[in-house]
Amino acid sequence: MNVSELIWGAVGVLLTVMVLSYLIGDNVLFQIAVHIFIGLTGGYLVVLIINHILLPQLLTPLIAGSWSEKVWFIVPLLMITLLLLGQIPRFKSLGNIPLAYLVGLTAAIAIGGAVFGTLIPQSRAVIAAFDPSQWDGNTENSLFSILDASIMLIGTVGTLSYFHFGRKRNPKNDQEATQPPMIFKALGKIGQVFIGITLGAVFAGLFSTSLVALIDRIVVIGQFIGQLIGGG
Amino acid sequence: MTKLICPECGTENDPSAERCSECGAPLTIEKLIENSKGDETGGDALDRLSAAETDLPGLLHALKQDGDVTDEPGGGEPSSMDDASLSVSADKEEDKVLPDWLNRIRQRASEEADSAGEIIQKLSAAQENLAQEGSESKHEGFASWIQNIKEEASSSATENRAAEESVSDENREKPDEIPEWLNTIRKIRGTAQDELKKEPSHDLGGDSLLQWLMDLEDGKATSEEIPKPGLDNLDDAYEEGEESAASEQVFDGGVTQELRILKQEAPRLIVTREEQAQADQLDATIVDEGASRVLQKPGKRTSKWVMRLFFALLLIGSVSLALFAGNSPQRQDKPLKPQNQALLTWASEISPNAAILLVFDYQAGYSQEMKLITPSVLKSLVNKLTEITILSSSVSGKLLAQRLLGVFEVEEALIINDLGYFPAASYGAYGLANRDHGTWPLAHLPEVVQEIPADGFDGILILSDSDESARSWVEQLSVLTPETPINLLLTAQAGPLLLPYWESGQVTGMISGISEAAAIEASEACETNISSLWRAYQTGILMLMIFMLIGAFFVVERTPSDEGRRAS
Repeated sequence: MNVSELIWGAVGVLLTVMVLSYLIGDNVLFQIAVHIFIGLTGGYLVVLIINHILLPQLLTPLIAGSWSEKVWFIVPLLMITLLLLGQIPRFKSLGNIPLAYLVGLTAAIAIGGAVFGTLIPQSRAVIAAFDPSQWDGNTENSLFSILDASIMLIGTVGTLSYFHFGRKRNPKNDQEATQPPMIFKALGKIGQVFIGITLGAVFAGLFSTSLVALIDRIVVIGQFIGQLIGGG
Repeated sequence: MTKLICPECGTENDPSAERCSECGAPLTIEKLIENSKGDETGGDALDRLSAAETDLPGLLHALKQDGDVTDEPGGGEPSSMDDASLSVSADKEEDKVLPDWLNRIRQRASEEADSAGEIIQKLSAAQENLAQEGSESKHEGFASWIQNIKEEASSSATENRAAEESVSDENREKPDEIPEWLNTIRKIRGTAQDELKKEPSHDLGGDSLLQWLMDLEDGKATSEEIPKPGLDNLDDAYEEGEESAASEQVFDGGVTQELRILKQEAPRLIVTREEQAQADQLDATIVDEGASRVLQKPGKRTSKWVMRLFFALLLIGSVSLALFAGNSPQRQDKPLKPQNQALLTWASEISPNAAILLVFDYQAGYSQEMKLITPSVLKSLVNKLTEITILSSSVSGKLLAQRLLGVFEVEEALIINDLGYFPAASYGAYGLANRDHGTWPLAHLPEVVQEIPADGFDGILILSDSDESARSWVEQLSVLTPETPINLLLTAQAGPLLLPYWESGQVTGMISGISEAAAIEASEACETNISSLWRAYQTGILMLMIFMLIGAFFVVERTPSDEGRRAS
């Protein structure tokens, strides 16, 4: 182990212990570690954006590009200027122009992706599960496919029903006016089960990932201590 | 230095003397009052008082003139009250040698805006008025008179203070205990009262000390009783016709004088229903704020973090034991999942000239898990390909790529084309897929960007730790470039929510989590560290399950007792 490895290994062990000190509550060591991480990330992000975005995609074309290209780069330059002016209270409304452009663009891309990339393909997948032409000659596999598709259909309908907040159109009394229709209520109960299973799976995955990170840290600390003791 | 002048012989005496050193005449205040009863110059004084009754300086000026009249040789008996009580200031230099305590009191009274300060300020104003008239003798007489009033009031008030604090009503029935300076003014007002009654509409002004004192004698003076906290006292304070024996302390020349003041009739307070409701609510809030609270015992919080630390150390200890103790467990042969097998098949069938894009979309904290998941696929790609294009949508994507690809030993140098950093996954995917369809192609993009194949990529491998970010890539690329195979290498937390995209056919193959990676390792005999970590992983999962069960049991057991404690 050379000096560099020793120093950086010690820093890694120290930062790990400082983060784990949160087990006894919020304390100075934990805050120092968090500040270090946030500061490093912020500084690295600034350098990254300057080197990978601003310089190659804005300033270089503005300097080395032709006049026709420079004209086009006036648009993002103007957007940046308006966004910066928006930080001044007097010109706050000017900052809304690039923000509106960004929000509109993000919504268009996200909605387009959600509809054409998730909603329609997933609906097709559910429908295709009931297509007999998709089944093979094996009866057992076919039954399993139908069962799988049925569970998927029930789960989808139940989950959508759980998030249905409509009310009866012509309620007979006040109690009915505050309750969803019976069919949605029943399907919503089924949807709750599927939502619980889904969140449980996500939670288990989160646990699993965190545990792997913990194991990694234990391995690193163990190796560092082993090298110190062994002199390797 | 102030001195008393004997009303009989005019000899100057020490202020503390009870009898005249020359003629033996008594210098007590009773004697001086008796002498003042025969003073016929009081009417003249009150005539002048009427003219200058609106303020104290006028009154004092009038009294001073009265003293001047009695000093005249043919002015009748010289034993007027004013003359007797006036002390003589020898000259201006004598004023300078006043006791320090008196100077401090005067200074403090002139600075403070309370009732005593107001009196002193008015007296000072009167002194200034006299000084402007240029009469040095008058000023001396006036100053000595003021000083005498202060001293007499000080002595009498000090004696009676304790008794007056207890029962202020008794003061009204015992005029003997009223300070002498007040008796003096009362005496003067007695002759002027008839004249004042003739002018019932007179308004002496709120600032007039004379008017206040006269009202005090008539029982008209007002006193605002300090309401006690709580809204109910407001009603009591505004009850009509009620008299209260509130006391007000007046600071006069260093002496605290308590005066009995009658309460003035107050206007009836009209409270609407809404205001009453708001007042009740406020009252309830005040009562609630003042209510005692059950404080959490400090030991409970301490036990919480101790318990948390205990379980954490237990988890770390058990995982460490599983890691560093015992032999490595044997590999478990488990059947591969279809999505895993699909990804491995795609990787094995890649042609050497294929253009592959690796998207690094995970944070540095998950690099160890990625390091365990990806080798089976990346090793196959690196051994076949000579050139790989990378793109990062996480801040540290480029560093992670260097770390991940740097562990493989290849025969030929691997060329890595870096497309750069795309802050938003959806923007990056949309821009990447539409590059060839752009209306305004840019000529000055970085050279590596120019390396993007014109026909698009032969395959895209997304390494992600977030289901949302990976879904953005899949949504955009599967629609815009449907012919390009998309594969996923995911952490365990992102896997479950992206599995439907494999079932729908949008994703060619995927591997998520260390468990699937361990199964691949067992099937392909890859040289990774999963086998050594697998037992620790299983131990950790088991411990976490036990902890959750203990936590659930502990919460269920604690809930009834907590409710019982709240009820008690």
